[in-house]
Amino acid sequence: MASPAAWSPSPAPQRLMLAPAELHLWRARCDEGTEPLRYLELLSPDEKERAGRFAIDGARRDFVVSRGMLRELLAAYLNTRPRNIVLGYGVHGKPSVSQNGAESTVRFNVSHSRGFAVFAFGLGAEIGVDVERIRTEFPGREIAERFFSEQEVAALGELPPERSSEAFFTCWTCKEAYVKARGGGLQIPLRSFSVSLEENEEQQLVDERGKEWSIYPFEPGAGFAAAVAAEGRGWRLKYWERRLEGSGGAEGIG
Amino acid sequence: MDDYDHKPLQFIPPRAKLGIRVMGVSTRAIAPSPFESDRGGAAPPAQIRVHLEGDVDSARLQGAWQTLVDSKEELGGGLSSNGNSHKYKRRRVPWQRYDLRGLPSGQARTWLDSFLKTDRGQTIPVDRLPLMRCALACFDTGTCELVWSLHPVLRERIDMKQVLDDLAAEYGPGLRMTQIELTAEQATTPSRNGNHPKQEIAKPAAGANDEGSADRTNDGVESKLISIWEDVLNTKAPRVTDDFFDLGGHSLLAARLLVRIEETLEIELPLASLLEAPTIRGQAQLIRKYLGKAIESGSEKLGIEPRLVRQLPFFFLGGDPTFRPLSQRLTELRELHNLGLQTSVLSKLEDPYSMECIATYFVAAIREQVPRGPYMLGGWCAHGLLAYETARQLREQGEEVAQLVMLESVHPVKRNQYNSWKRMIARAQLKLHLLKFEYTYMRQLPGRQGRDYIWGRVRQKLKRINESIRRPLKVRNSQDSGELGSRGPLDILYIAAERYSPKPYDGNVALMRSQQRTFGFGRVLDLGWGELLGKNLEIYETPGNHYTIYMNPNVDALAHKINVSLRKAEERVTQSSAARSLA
Repeated sequence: MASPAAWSPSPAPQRLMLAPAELHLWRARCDEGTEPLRYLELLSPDEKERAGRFAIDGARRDFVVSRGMLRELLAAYLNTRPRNIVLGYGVHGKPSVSQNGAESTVRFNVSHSRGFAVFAFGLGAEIGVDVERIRTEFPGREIAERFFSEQEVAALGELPPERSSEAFFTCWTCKEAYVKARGGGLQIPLRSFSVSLEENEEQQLVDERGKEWSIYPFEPGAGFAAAVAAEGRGWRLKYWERRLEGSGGAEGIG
Repeated sequence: MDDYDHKPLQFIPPRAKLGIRVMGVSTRAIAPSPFESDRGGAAPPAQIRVHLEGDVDSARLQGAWQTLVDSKEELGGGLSSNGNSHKYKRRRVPWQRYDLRGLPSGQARTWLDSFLKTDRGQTIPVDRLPLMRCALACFDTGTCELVWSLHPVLRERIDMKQVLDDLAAEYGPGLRMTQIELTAEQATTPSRNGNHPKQEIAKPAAGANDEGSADRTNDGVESKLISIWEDVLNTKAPRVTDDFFDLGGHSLLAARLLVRIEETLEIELPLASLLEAPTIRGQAQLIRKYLGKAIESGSEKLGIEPRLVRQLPFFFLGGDPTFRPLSQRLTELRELHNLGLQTSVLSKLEDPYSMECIATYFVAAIREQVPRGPYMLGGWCAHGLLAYETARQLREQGEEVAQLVMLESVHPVKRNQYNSWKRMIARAQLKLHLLKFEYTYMRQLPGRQGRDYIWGRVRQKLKRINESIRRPLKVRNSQDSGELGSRGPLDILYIAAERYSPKPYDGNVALMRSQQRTFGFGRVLDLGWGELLGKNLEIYETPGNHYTIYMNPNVDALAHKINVSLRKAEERVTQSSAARSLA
């Protein structure tokens, strides 16, 4: 899995810039020392209500913090305040952001898993990102057999058992990132396309309408698997770390 | 129906330029609705028209009708017993009320004819309860007409006269009913019915019985699902109505859940099924359907769980019958009130070209029907702006407005600041959409009607040219003098929309956007509302263009999305009132 040399702490605090063909990946913890209440204030009534419905505290916290951070980051990219961020939703619920009334060229996607959030930002192309904590007890094989393509199941079967968990999660996050980039939610059958299990590889897919997609697996942190997918080819990936107040870095964003 | 025809392109070229004639379109001929295509039991309704005289109270009549349906097995209701408790199973009968008071009798007649025609175009599927719907139209003369449309299968099983007698008895004194006619469709019923044997009616009834039992957690499938959900989500005792995704579920857990279900119940569900049925109850129904152990009842599939969330009335502004497919869908899902604009009403207003003034009238009209909030309001295009202003005034009066839904409504000030040549192109594009629609419509009309249609359009055009020649000759602009001239209500509304400057509003707003966007400002995702509404604005995309979003086959998606946004609002209201009662 592409392990970035370093996740740099966030750059210029006030304003973030995206260059064309650049994908910015952010990682952040949602659990340690975060103040869900501070983030809760940033959410829309709709999101607050959703947060209120979560039955599990951890899931609620992850949702609130990741949505709040998303708004802060978007505000930094769009040079506005987090409260001014208006999110829209596509047919299958994929969020997008509008700026000055028009759909912004800044595209983004978020994923969180067990206290860990990953954000991806890019210009003008659809993006999807997914992160999962690697769990060895997880019944990956059954899920693969049920939902993955034949090639993927065969490739997973050839791996030694000690590598199979990680390979399953890499494969899953690649597939999920691609599905999220396409904006199809759970509607796109996971069996309808294949990804490679090679961990360091940039992958290319062409969808049924002839559009090209790239998928990049990466390691967001020890014990987690993640991947980002984006429309087009030849993206340069940059890795940033979202640090919290007091720990330096992104203080004052937005 | 000049009252509904109007001059185009004042604001956003109004759909209603299609005029009332569009209503007669057999929507199925344009494209089959995906909702209906796979239902063998969908059939045009039999229509029964009942003339009502005397003291007609719509709400009371609706109540009487509902009571009647609840108590009659053959109408899809009845008592169901569950152990030692008896429970009514409520099947809300779709009920629409059209206030045609103020319309000259000739026009009201035309309106009703068109209504009946469109109503016939809207099929009633046999597997979707209820199998009937009612519309009450009120006229100037103090009389009303009840249009009772029912599936031919149902028509076969009931004694119509008896039902109407029972209805009169239930309503109480002061009402005289005369059955006017059964529509021609009625005559063909037996042959149609040949394809749908009587047993079909028993299916939904059986489903309804099942649905009626109060404690569904006793169901074997549900209890198995509960333990699987507990395990997969690592949570304790999820309620059957909890949403998988609210319990911390995500796609990987969804996959795991479905693998477990497959192991336990030997049934393979696709991942997307969790979007359709994200609750244990919904999933159990889906499974029962797959297993063929019970027939799922239609309305639940559409996501109605009437006893759990407080239903609020939804006022859809725009009584234009082109919205019939949409209001039909919505009526199947919830309580819907259509409110239209009439010249007779506008002419009494102090300033009919002021959105605020028109809205004040609608506030009163809404409160006359439902005196207290929370309300939900919606409208298409300029009617959306009217709904906005009406909602704003209701809130100003201290009433709660749980949700406002605007369909393709543009912020008028923002739009007018936009590049003018781009606006011109947009107008041309919309005109093209309109022509395309009319062309499709024309082609399916039989010869004479097609000629009539063209002739009607030509006459309309001539009238407009005539007016535009005469207008400059008048000393004062009739707009300013408050004179309505020959303008139809929609003309007036579009002028009012053009002049309207929306004031801040702090309630929840859902904006429905067509996926096929119009050039220029139409490309702007939030149509100019983002700045004013901020986080309270939610945008939904729905297939079709500015006009076709509420036509078949796109109307299903739109109705679904409107319903989703309204349901969210209802859940919010239910929760906050529960919280208040706890406090």
